[in-house]
Amino acid sequence: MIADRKGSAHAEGGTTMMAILFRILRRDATRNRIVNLVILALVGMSAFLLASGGALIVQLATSLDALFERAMVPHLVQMHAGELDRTRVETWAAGQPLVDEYQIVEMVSVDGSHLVLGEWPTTEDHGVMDISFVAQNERFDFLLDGDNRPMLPAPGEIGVPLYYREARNLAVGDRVRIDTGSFSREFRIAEFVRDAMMNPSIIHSKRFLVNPLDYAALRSNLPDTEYLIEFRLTDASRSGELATAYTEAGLPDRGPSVDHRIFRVFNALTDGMVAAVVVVLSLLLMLIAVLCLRFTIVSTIEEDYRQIGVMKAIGMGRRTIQRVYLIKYVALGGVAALGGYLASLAAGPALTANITAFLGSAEPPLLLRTVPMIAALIVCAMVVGSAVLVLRRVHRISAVEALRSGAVDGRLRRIGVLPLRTGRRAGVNLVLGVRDVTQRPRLYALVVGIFALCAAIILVPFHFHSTMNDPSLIAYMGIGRSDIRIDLRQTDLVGRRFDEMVATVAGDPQIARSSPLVTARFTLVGDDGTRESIAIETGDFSLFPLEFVMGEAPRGEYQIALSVLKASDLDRGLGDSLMLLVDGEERTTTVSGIYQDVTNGGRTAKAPLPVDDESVLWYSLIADVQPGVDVAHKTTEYSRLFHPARVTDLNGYIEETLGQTITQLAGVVAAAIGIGLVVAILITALFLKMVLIKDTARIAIMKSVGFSLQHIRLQYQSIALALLLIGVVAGTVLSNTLGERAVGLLWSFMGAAQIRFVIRPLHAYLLLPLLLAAAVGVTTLFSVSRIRNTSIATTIVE
Amino acid sequence: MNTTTTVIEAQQLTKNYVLGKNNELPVLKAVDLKIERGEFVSVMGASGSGKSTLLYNVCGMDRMTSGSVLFNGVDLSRLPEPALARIRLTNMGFIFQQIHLLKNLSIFDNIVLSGYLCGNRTRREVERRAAELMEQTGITEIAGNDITQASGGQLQRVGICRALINTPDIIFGDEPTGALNSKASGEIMDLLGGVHREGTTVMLVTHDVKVASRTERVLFMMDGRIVAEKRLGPWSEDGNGPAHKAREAELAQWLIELGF
Ligand SMILES: Nc1ncnc2c1ncn2[C@@H]1O[C@H](COP(=O)(O)OP(=O)(O)OP(=O)(O)O)[C@@H](O)[C@H]1O
Ligand SMILES: [Mg+2]
Repeated sequence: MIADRKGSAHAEGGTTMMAILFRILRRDATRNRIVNLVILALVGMSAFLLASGGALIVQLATSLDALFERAMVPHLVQMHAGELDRTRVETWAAGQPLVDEYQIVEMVSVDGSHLVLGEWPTTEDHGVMDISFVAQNERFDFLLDGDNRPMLPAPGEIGVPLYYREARNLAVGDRVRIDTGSFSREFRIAEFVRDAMMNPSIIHSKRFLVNPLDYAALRSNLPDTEYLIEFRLTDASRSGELATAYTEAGLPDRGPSVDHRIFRVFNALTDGMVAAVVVVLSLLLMLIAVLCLRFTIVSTIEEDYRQIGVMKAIGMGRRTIQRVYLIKYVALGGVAALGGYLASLAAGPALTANITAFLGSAEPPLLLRTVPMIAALIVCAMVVGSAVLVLRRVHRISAVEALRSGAVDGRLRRIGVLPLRTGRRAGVNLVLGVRDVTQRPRLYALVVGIFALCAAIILVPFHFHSTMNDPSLIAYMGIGRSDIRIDLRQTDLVGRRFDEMVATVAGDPQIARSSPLVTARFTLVGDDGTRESIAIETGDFSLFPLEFVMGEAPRGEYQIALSVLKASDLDRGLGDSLMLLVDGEERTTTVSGIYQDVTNGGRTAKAPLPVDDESVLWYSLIADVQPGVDVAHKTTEYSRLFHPARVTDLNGYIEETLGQTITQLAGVVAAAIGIGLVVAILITALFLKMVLIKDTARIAIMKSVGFSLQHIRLQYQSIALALLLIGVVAGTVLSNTLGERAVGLLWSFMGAAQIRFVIRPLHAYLLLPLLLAAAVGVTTLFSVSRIRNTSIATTIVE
Repeated sequence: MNTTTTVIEAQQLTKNYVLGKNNELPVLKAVDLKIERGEFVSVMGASGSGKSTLLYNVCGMDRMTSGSVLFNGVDLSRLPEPALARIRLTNMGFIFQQIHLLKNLSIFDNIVLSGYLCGNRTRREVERRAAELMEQTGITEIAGNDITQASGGQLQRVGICRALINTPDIIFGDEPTGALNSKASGEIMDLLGGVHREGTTVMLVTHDVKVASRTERVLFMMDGRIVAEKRLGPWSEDGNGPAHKAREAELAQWLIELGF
């Protein structure tokens, strides 16, 4: 009978305890409103960002896979400009067991100056893109419509690469006009096509899709053609092998060869960067949230030291005591994670808009769709887990010690007498502030640390953005920094044309200096005697120096510089040797430097070697104008003069290739600045709240001694701003060192392993810190307005 | 409820505090003490003589250095911490100078919490008992209040209710009236007298002769030992002012003789 009653009482104990915990929660919620709200907001934002980052990555991977599958992307592409012996290629390909399918795609090159897109006021003369027209492929490498189906334009219709929709503000129904003077034709835009291979703006070739009949007409009226020799393999991972076999067979190879991994990386680049920044931001926020959490728990435990001792004394178990304190963090974490997750659902379409536009809106599989939810749960688990860890301190409190620790409440004993009778008032405020800093180092260190993180959250994306926007970025992209670059593809007689061009530019009084660069094919002899073809840019690399990660530009005919990716492919480092076939003779060169490159798939080499006309792939000329000469003007002049060479204004180059990435990054930067400010505001509110609670008695005493309310408020404001100042300095250092490295990691996906931040001092060192200071300052105004006329009497009764 | 007649039996109870290497401070020196069921005992002595230490050791809150303490016949020195906690929760009640309630719970919830945790009664029964106790101690009106909305005397009553919620075998008090004025202190002693009369064993540590005079057996500690004890007999409730004064005077005289 008694046993029975006990059983039911125990069974009921759980729900009863929950009811009590819930009541604890309710009182705590109203009692510590500010502290709870701040932690809730931090955790919520972190959950939102992590869930969003997860959603972005999932959507990116899914859309990319779907796009590649539907488009049937080739695994290996050899570009070729000039005559092509089709049957030779086809016979070779048919004999390769590795080749599953192959096709030779012919493209008609259209000079930018002959093309007008929609209402755009100029021709594509200044554009950096190589423009070609194609008909839809029959077997693979399809250009897809909005629903990821191969697009089949009717006669007179055209499919325009998506890139131009934003870049030239086009819409379906707009006109595209080709006019060479002797031949002209107009098309109506029927679709914007997704080109899995050439979608990304960083790839500076773009394909326009027309009906086979229109294609035939273009083909017979426009002289320049180019070929894509495309392969799909039985084993995609062995594309390198096939590429080697191809060159060894001496097949047409006037142009870069690219494999499918590059397409994937470049397609994922922009959104991948955004996702990475979002995830990093969320982790930083989580770190901040956990730091705050730790601090509030530790100070709660300290405040409740004797209360906890008594709970132990009267026989409450450790776990019960922990639960009394934990419940709040379980609730906070749960609510924040749920809120963050829901917010990420709401923001999802906007966040993934770019992905769905460029890569298509494939629905992720069920399992992947849970990723954002899991991300939110992870944030919740982090919060609860760190609370559990910190709450282990409860074990260490001994009931006896807590009971012995003096009858008077600790905080009343801590009030010191303030020996401050001298000095003017402002000075006194300062002295009090400084005194305070030495008294509570932990809280202050925490706040400084978080302010530093806030500054970093703002500055790192900002620096990243400034760097991407700066002309010097070119130097990291594998192109010597110059004003103008002229590219001439190899066709017949081009060699002589190039010589004339070099002479003209060299003689132009408006040109300060120029340097011809010729890219040619050489043969690389491996350690085991295997031969491999390698494209090497030759010329004088001392005039327009590149940024080298290691070492320096090659000097003399026995030195070579490699791009980061090429060096890692070949497994060569600085000072290693490399055997080349030059003029049919073996020559050992030494690696003099390693540079970063994003052009031509990021795998390139540079060496001052002698070139024979036969092996030239393309010619380039880079030049700087004299001071005061208008670059755009000069660019136009040259593109007319040297037609059909492509003349690029290099400032425009970044705009065209990275413009969209930069625009998206600008969004991230704005968000990061917002987040940094919000966190600074939250932390200031939290900090002042805690300090003011602890200082209730001290403030009362100061007032009774004769300090005015204003002076006291000023004191707290100056403390907060002083901490911010230290934090911003620390954050700036952090951004310029660790931040730079972290961003370097992002860059490495593009083949640029190391990048120095371009820092805009006015913004980074003045305006943004001022913005932070303003946010913190306004928050302190609100926070200190809580210091009212609390009298010493009310404090002591408390 | 347990039927053994001895609630607490300490034998050769010794407690040394470790101050450093080879530096121990003996605080309790082989104390023998027996408290029978239903006794009302107080412990007096100079500050630092070891009164609190004795209390903490016989209730299993602190670990003794050597000797033993039997509680209802069970040797506390052999039990692990969770079992000791369980005993303190279920069979002992505690009143401290300051009671330190959970600040995020109402007064009523603070009282019932120990009852819920103990789990020997249903929720209803716990709540009924809490209501009864509050009625008896005269704090029914403040049941729903925040702990900041109560006077020191009221809080001490809440402490008594909390200590009694699981109908313990013994109530320990370490200077329960230490922070109260003499009127409030007298009221608390009235309540504890009632608790004792209902059969609960009570052991108090106090500095106050007036308080000690209301108990039936006074132990006097000096330098870690119980050096004397005095039996005072039952306290008569019926407002016999002069008799109470005489009892107090007798105890005071005894203490003076002991050099207090
Ligand atoms: N944790 C400890 N470490 C070292 N010594 C201690 C510790 N706790 C108590 N003591 C010492 O033990 C002795 C007895 O302390 P105890 O608190 O039992 O005395 P008390 O009789 O209760 O005194 P009071 O009347 O002041 O409360 C004192 O000398 C005290 O300094
Ligand atoms: Mg004591």
